[in-house]
Parts: sequence; structure tokens; C-alpha cells
Amino acid sequence: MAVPNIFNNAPLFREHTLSLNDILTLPRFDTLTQANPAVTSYNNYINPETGQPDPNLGATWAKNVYEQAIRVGGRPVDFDFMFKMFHKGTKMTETKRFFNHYIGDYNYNITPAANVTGSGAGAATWVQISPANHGSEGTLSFPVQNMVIIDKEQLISYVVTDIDTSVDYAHKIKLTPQDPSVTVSLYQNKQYLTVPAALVGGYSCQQLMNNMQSIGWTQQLKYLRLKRNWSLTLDLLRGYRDKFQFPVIYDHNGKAMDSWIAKEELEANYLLKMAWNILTFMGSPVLNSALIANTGAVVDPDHTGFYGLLPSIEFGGGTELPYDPAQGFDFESDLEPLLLYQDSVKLSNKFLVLTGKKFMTSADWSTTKMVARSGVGSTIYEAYKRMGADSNDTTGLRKIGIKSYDYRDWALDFKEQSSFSDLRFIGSSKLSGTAIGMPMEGITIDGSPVDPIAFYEYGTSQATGSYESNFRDMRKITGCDSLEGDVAQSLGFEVKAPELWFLINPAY
Amino acid sequence: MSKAVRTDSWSTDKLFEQFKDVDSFLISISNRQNSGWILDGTENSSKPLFKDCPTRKYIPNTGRIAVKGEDGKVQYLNARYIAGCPYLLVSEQKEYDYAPNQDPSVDKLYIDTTDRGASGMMHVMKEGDLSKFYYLYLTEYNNSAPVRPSDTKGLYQILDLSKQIETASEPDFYLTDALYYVDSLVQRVGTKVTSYDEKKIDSYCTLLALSTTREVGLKFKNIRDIAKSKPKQFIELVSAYEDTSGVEVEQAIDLNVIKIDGKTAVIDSTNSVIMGGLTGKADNKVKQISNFLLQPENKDLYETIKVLLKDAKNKELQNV
Repeated sequence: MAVPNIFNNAPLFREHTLSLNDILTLPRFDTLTQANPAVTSYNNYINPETGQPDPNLGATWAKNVYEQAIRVGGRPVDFDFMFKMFHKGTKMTETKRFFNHYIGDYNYNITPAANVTGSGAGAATWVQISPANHGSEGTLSFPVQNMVIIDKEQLISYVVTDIDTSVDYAHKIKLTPQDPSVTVSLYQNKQYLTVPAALVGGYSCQQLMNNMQSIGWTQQLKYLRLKRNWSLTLDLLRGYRDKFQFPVIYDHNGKAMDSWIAKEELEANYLLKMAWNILTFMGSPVLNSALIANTGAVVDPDHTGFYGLLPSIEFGGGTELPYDPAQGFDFESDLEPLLLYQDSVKLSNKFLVLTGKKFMTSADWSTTKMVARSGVGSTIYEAYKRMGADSNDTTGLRKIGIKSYDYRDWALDFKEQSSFSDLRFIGSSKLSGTAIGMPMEGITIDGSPVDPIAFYEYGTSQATGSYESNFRDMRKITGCDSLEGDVAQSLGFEVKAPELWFLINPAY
Repeated sequence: MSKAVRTDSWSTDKLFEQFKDVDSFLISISNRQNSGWILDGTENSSKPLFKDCPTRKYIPNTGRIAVKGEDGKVQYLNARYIAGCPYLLVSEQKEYDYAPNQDPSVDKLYIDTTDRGASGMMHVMKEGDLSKFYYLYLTEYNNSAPVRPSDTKGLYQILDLSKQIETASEPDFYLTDALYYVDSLVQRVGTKVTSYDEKKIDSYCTLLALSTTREVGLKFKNIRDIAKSKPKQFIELVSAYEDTSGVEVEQAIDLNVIKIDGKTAVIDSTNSVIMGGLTGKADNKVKQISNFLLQPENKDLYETIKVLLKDAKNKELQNV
């Protein structure tokens, strides 16, 4: 005779699994929620002080507790902040490694490696140019004979009359002042403009000239694969005999859910997503060879990962502006020099600035003192507002904050990120005082704007997908009363041209 | 945050006096990590350029200076850098009515990098603005400040200049020496090569296991490429090679295996001519004979002289 399979209604069990008994072993809570068959009724409540059953106390307890599972917690963790901000779909790649590349601008100035003073008026003088002014592994440099070099501040012109390229990264040019009364005088690390054509007479022959191409930087990135397993023992149908009650519980996202849902399964999805958000924000690739091998190590060589947003900006050539947290961030004394620098190299003028709460409050302090500091006559700067007065002329007070800053074609829009100040998650006091400036212009391909952040997945079409979720009913596999599952995903990530980003954070 | 105190016993002058022996220092951004970015074309070179820090990092112009009093206790002084202001301490600046400059960028300090690589370093010299020099040296942002608050992490540190220069210049030192050897193979006028020492180039090619059948300019380039890519090994190999033959020639002359007769070198025992056209002093002649013997087509002659030299040495030893 066939054994009736009472658990064959898979969809029912798929949806109605309970995990409370594994999680909650607190006697008072068990009594309250009737979660544990050992103390299924409040009549069996054991008074912890006497160690004896105390039906009266149990009854009182149950009567007076109206709210059962009160969630005492803050607002939900904004763990999906990176994806909400930047994930506009993934691009497909057919390989497991990809390259991030950008080409910057060339600077037409050269800088001497040391201070140089000529031996006398009109005398030709050798000047070694700094390593930064070399290309092709230090073998080439821009100046050629008869090229003019101009001291822009003194308005003095020199002609390059000889060149010594014998030592790589230490090329020398011989400068002769155009005016015989001038003595050569150049300062280390000061920029002198090259005129990118040579002086010739009426008849001239072909002379080789170098052309410094714009500068390219390359970064090799690989994918990361993350997995989260979950397992759940099935004892649910056997514990609830005398009172069938399913208290509401809350998941990590603060969503209320009844206990018939396998919390583990649902949360595995959330936690995987949380992991991606953390790693795309502040993660770094696995570079330690002890952790990399095709088998038997943490990752294989194809899944060593990528640099998250913060390491990309801080170590990949962004602009970093630490400020004294005791003083707060000042729009005039801190931000303006930064914007002037951005302008000097003609980088983006428009930013979306992701900030923590503390950064914004410190920015508010600085704006309230701005006018007073500038001392602009009798200008009234509204920092506070009184709200409707009552009969005693008592009012509410509202402090005025800022959410954007516009000045001479610079535009900064501030977007507060709850997670930067969320101590339960990535937040810290430093990150709360942090601001990340994302360029809104300047990254282009063939003239068309490109998003400064990109997500990748491998495959040849969207249908291949890299996200997978598996569910296993172990009663049908091993005979054990449990359900198991896992979620896994592979993802690539890149921050394009970190030079265009800025990072403002407290100096300590 | 530790309590910053104003104390009348400390002044800018006292700080300057206490650290008057410091003349210059090299600071480097302290928090550096690999970013994966590498400058195109440098990945296979001896000097790959990586980015490991910001292109520009600002330093706040207000901060604290930790000092040790006579009782050994650490005190914190509020400091502020104002360009052109002779006072470093906020208390003195207030006393003498110094306010931050109207243009805030004048007071802003930063460590910059060039557009060709993220060096993130700054050489701070004690000249001009002393306040700037001592602000960078003494404030809490300097991880190498003489006294540091323990509750903060600095933004930069001082590099040991002598050690840094030694380390930084080591490859340059080898490279310069290696290129010296290579450049001795050609005659230049300005940057233009006018003639090649083909025989010596061939001997270098043999030594470095390079083909000797190519056009001389290409052979020279091959030698130069090796000298640039592995300057240290190149110098060791070439100098050992040249020195050995030089010493052997000297010994051969001492033991009368080779005789120099005016401008001609001959093997004494057979009276056969090794080479003519010797010029200069004795040292120079030894070098010319040595170079001659190192040429691939004179390999047999060189081996013959080696055998004769060995015999002569044996006889010398027996006589002793």
C-alpha cells in the first residue's frame, strides 16, 4: 500500500514554513506568542523569581500585553542605496575580465626638475625637465629644437637651441633667451608654456617633431560572485496544538511579514543585495595570491572583483578635501578653492553630491555665518524662521538648511544618503560627515554623455542572467525535515574616470 | 576630542625656536592603496606609473598642535594657517587681529600630483612663509609630527629624505651607468649618432646572446633596450666581461706573453702581430688590446693568448 504523502502539496509548504521556534527560545516571549509547545499556555507560565508555575501572573501578563511583537528599531536600513542611485541596468560582457579606460587632456606646459639660473644675460642654459613631461617610457618629450618656451608670468620667451635626450625621464633642453638682456631663470615645478611649432627661416627642411598624445589610464577589472545559503528545519506543524497563532515578524528591511513565510529564504535575497551594495560602495578586489586559485581558495582568478566607489575616488586619482570637523565644512573657505581647482583643469562644474547627515548640518553652520563673515553691509541672511505665534506670542523656530549651491555656473545638488549615517550598516561618524561629488558632465564617448558608473554581467544576452535562486526540499533528497536554498549572483562594476569625482570628508 | 587649551606659556616664537633645526622635509600622503589604474604604455616598463592616491589632497588650515610642556604633559594648541600671517596659534592671531584672507584659496594647503602619475608628495622648504612650514610640520595632520594627539589619524607623513633619495635614485643610478656603457659604442653629435663602434657592438651582441647579423643600428638598439630594461644585470655582465679581459692583457704583458712595441702589440713567443695602431698611454693601450681581443672574429687569438698566459703563470709559479 502506498504511503500517503501528506507533504506532497509543495506550494503550500513552500509558502507556509515557520522558523520561529529556531529563533526564539525566550521563555517570556514564548509564553506571549505561544511559540513553544513546552509553554503553550500562559497558565503554564513559570515565574522566574520563584521557579514555580504562576497561573495568575501568566494571566496578568497575557492580559496586559496587547502588542505582541513590537518592533523597536529605526527606519529601515537603506541597504540598496548604491543600486537605487546608480544601477540603470547591467551591460553584458562576453568575458570575465574587462577594462576600464579613459583618456585625459594633455598639458601643454613643461616644468623644470630644478630651479635654474643662467650664467649671464643672453647666455644659453641647460634645463632638465621633470619626469612628468616625458612619454613613451621616458624616451620622448615634447620640446624640439627652435621651439619657443614662454614664461607666462614674466612674459619672457626662450628658444630651445639644443636637446639632450640621452637619459630617459631626464631630458635636457638648452634655452636661449630671445632678448639678449635677459638671464635664464626658471623655477622648479612652475609651468612654462610650450609653443607647439618651431621657429624657422624663409627656407627650411623637414625636422622631426614629437606630439604628446592625450594621456590614457587603464584599469583591469574582474567579476565578483557572491552566494548566500540558507537552511530551515521543518518542525512547524508539530508545535502548535492548543493555540494556532502566527505572530507578525519583521525582516531586515522592516517589512512586516507573517511567520508562514520562510524568513531565511526571503532574507537571503535581501542580504545578497546588501552585500552588493557594500562592495560596490567600499569594496576592493582580492589581490592576495593566497586567496586566489582555481580550486581550494576563496576565489578563482576570474572572480577577483573590482574597486568600489570610495576606493576608486580616494586611490584612483579623485580630488580629496578633508576638512576640520571641529570647524565644519565651509562653503567659502573649503568648497570654493575646490571648485576653482576643478575649473583650472576644466573638469565638471556640475555635481550631484551624496552626503551624510552630519555633512549637511556642518554645511548649514557655515552658511549661517557666511554673510556675517563677508561683512556685506546690512544684508540680512535668514538662518532661522519663526513659525505661527500662539496667544502668548510663543512661536516655533525653524532652522533653514540648504539643499543646493549655485554660484558662477557651478551647481551642486546635495542628496542626503540615510545609509552614510546608519551605524547599523555602513554608517560611521566619519561617513556621516562625508560628501561624494559625482560629475554630471565631462565623461563622454564620441561626444555623448556616459554614466560615470557602470554595472556588468557576463553572458551574451539578458536571458542568460547571472542571478540565480535555488530551493531544495530536503525531505525529498535526504529525508531530513528541512528546506534549503541559496541565492547567488555575479556582477562587474566600474567607476569611470575617478579624476572627475571629489570626496569631502572629516580630517579625523 | 581632546580639550584644546590656550596657554600663555606657548607662542609661535617658542614653537619656531624649539624646532629651529628642521630645514626641510618631504611629505607623502599616508593612506595609499592600489587602485588598479596604470598609465598606458608603462605597464611593461621598469617604471610603471600607478595611481594610489588622490590627484589632489587638501589639508585643512585649522588644526591642533600637540606639545609637551616642561612637566612632560601633552597640551593641545589650536593652530590656523593664514598665508602671510607670522602667527601660527589662533590665540595670537586673535590677539593681533589676524583673520583669514579674503580669498580663501590663498590659505588653502594641498598636496598635488602631476598629470602623469600620482606621486602625492610635497617637498616643504623652510623659506618664505615660516607659518606654512611649521603648520605642516607640527599639526595633527602630520603622522610624523614630534608630538601627536593619539585620537586622530594624520593625512600625510614625513619621508626620510636621505633614504628616499637613495631608494628613488637607485634604478636611475644603474640606468645611467648602463647607458654610459652603451653610449661608449657610438659617437654622437648632439642627439644624432654619427658613427658606430661596430666591432665592440658585435662583441656586446655575442656577450648578450643577440644576433650579430643585423644592421648595426638595430644591433645597437637591441643592446640599448637590454641596458634599459635590466640595467643592473647589464652593468654586472658587461663590466665583468671587460674587466676580465683587461686584467688578462695586463698579466700577459707583465709575464712577457704580449709585448708592446711602439704602436704594435705582438705575441712574444711567436713574434706574430696581434694588432697595430695603438695610441695613448700604457693603460689606454691595454684597453685597446682588450677591446680588440673581445671582438668575435678574434676569439681564436684571444684563446691562444689565454693558453700562453696560463703556461707563463705555471712557469712563474714553478720558479717561485
